[in-house]
Amino acid sequence: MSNPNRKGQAGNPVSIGMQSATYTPFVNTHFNLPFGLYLRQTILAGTTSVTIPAGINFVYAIAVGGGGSGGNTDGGGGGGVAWGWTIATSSCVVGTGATNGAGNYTRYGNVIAGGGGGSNTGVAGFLGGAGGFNTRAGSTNYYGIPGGTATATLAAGGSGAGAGCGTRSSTAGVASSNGGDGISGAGGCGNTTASPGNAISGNGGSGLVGGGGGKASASTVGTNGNGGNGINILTGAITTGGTGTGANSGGGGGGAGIAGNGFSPVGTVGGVGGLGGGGSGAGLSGFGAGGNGILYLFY
Amino acid sequence: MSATIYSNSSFTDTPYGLKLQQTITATGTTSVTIPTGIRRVYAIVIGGGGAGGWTSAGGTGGGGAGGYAAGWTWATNTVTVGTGGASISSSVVAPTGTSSVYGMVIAGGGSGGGGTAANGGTAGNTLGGAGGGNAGGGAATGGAISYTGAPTSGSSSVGYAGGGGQNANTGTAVAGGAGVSSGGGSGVLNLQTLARTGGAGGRGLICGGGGGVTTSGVGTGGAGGTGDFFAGGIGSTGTGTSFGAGGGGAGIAGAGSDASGTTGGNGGSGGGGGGGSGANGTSGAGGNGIVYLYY
Repeated sequence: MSNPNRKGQAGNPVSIGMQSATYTPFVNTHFNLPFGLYLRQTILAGTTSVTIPAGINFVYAIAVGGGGSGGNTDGGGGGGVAWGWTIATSSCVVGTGATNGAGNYTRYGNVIAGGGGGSNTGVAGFLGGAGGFNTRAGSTNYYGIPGGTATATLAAGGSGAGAGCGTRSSTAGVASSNGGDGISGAGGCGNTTASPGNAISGNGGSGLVGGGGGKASASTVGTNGNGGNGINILTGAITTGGTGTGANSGGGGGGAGIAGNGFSPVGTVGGVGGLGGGGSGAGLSGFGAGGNGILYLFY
Repeated sequence: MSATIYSNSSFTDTPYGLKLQQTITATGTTSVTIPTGIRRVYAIVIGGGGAGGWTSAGGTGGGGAGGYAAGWTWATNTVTVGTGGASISSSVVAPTGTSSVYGMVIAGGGSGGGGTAANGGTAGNTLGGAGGGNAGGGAATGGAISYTGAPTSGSSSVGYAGGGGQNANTGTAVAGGAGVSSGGGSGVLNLQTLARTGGAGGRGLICGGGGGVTTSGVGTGGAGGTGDFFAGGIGSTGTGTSFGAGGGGAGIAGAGSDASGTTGGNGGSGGGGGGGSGANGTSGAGGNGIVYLYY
């Protein structure tokens, strides 16, 4: 059935629709996605140019930065998320997930999201990226929503645009902090209990993007953290973090991305973060890569 | 099913489908005519770019790009378009660009580039204005908080407004931080015979200028940052101290100018940062701001 209120094609003046109570400015009637628009392009890391049809002056963009990498002890932070209208442009930057440090940024026009924090180097997340290291805070995002605070106790890190991290435990049987929940979840803290004590690591925080799980650093007994969950914003489905495996022989699970599940560790290498900014899990012998960023364009 | 933006809560104010009706480039505060019946306007405003740095020794930082802001505002007959920082050849304090304003949408100017170690990127960049690159190993300017509330950025760092490039070793080129508005590149001052290149302006929608270089060897000024719509200017290159100024950064409405000898390139129209000067040269001016009105 045609929409009786439909008025004008994209690119045509719709000022009347903005001034009165009669018209809608949209050419389509698909209302499940932002502002009734269609998802037209999904752009992956490494892409630098896009083609926008003539007559489309504005594009609604959702940008997700790359996930941070986990270290030997703590999980990496989830990449930041930013959204909004921007002028149409044929250029874009889609950040890669980190292999050793903070993830890279994603930008389309004036919409920009930063990367999640990296655990091994302790590099902080930025522009909405979550923390990924013992007692690291999260970051403020594109809209000024504050990052989550770091907690100096064994409670979970603070919530925020980019969530904050908690604290490592060094006591047998006492779990380390989970990463804070937020728009982007923080990495879970590892556990430094000496072997053979029961070393319980923290899980990654959840959100639209999940953080990576922590790693029991030396003990042969214990539990490595799971990656935090995310949400597929196109479907509403939960994306799941990877499951942490083993103790000293395993690693933390990768955090879920906005577009894909996180992965479980492979051997002693932490789990890779999911597509769309998932932070990676910690690992004894190597750092799983953070999930690559992603860019959605609606018009 | 039918819906309007007034009865369906999933809608928010959207500029989708609007047309560009007016482009205002005249700097300063002027009047603008909005047709009768148009009570709200979607404005995109860009502040002026910062000037490149200057000192007689050269090797100065590039200017930061002007800020970018966009959103709905009430219609008004007054508009302010920011000026780019003016070119200089006698002061180590490079001018910062000024703000552009339409209604309640405002964007700040970019920081001027650093002239000496004690006079780094010029402070005063506001509301999305990017930082200027450093000179002589001094401090660069970070990027300013944006209209949307995106946080400040540190030197050389990515941000909504990128930080100016900062080098600790005065012979090392460091690019300006990337962002919506990017930072200016660091200046490079090395009087040995080594080949040196100034720091490039950062990548962005609007870009910072390249840093200047001074060396007895082959010197190449840093390139102005490459924007989404236009290119940055190239730095001048040659052997000896008669070359090495940085290129101007891309604006949203025009390319940055190439440098010439020790004279930095001007920033592109719409907020591009100016290029840093070479020895006994002249800094590049920042690009003027611009205001776009859609309705």
